[in-house]
Amino acid sequence: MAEKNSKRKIDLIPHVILVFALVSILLIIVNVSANLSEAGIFIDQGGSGVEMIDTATPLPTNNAPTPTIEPVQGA
Amino acid sequence: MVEKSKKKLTPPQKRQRTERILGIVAVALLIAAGVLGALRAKADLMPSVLAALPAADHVEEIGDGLYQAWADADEEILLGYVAFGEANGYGGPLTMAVAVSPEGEIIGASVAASKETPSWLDRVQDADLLEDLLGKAYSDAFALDDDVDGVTGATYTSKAITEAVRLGARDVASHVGLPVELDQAPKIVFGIPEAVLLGLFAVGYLGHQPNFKHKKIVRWGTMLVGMVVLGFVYNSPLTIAYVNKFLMGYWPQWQTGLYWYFLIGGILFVFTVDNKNPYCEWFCPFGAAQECLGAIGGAKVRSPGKYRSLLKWLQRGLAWAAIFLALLYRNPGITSYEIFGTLFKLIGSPVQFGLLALVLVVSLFIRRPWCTYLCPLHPVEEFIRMIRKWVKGLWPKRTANVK
Repeated sequence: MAEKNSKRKIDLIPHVILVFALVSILLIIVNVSANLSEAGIFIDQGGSGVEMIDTATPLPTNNAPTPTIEPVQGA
Repeated sequence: MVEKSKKKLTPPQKRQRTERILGIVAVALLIAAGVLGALRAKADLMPSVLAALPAADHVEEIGDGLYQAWADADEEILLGYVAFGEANGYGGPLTMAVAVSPEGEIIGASVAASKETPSWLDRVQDADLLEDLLGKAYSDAFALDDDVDGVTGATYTSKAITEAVRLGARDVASHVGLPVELDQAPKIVFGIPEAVLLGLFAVGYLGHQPNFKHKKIVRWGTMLVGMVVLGFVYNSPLTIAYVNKFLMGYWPQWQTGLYWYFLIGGILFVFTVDNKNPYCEWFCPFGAAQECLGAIGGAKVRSPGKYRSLLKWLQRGLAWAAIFLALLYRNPGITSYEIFGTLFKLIGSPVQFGLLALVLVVSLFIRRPWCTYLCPLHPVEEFIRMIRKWVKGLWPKRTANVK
């Protein structure tokens, strides 16, 4: 009986390890997805792959009124 | 010859063949991702020019990545110039748009492109470092922790922002005719982490020798030193981001990146010569932390039984996906999923803290669960080992043919 109990106990370990690994991988996927979306990388629902957006992040300035005129490119 | 080709493969040989085929396919896909990533269009930099100098009403490109910013559309009041500076951050190159007054004073800046992990970049942007840069002259030294306050726990990002702003400001100065002194070669940075790392490699190499006595005690010594110095004090463990940077060619200057070269070069060297991994078992800070908990909880090596193969392939798949996405987006740190900074600097998202708690609790009962089932460096090590064995297997055949 004791031997049977011991065998049952040992058999649980692979399942515990599997659950640990799967939960961890799930958390990793959630975290990496959050990183990707924070960086502006989203899965395009149109199915054309992925899109990357670079957002310009300003430093604090002393006086910063909102720019109103479009920039002119080229000399 | 015909008989030889028909020879039936044993199960281990079949497994080896499958692994080699999958290895080649995986590498081919990584190369494709790298090429695609390199071909991706560069981001439009104009928004960052405006963000660097929001007071500008009219901005005009005057060539060589230099912009002139006016307060009015009639170009009567010149606010200054905007240029881009680039420096190496934790995740790769970081580009700053830097606005400089006609007199050479920094009047604004913005992050134009960055490969940093977003939460770490946010940390720097929320700190005083950015404000410290305003009002500096292009000719200032911009020494971190001297002229400018660095952000604890985000040293690489702080350094990159400061250096990129300095270079951008100098670029403006040289374009508008202000006197610019030639940059001196950077000073060689060799401090405590570099010295400790070399010492750990030396002790690790000695400890791997078959005749070495006191292996157990010395190994605990290196692990504790690694955990305290490379982990808690300097937070510089090896991560998949380093591997990605290496693959993408984002190599730091040798004078300031000696630690990086010692770490990657040392591991590759010992691995190639001795087929031993001196880092993971002997001084990886996170491995040491798990072993310390294991010693407290009486952790043992537990067999995953019938799930062994599944878990091995899950770990490999995870590591491969992390490298693949990083190469595709040319962003080494974006998929770095290690939770080392979460433990050593207590920085991370709630999800990362949850994962850390899970790993640490399991470490009490199972030996090194992170290293065994999750760490992305383990599959990289297995891959290098496989290639090494493969090449070694080919070598005698070739020499035999030549003879």
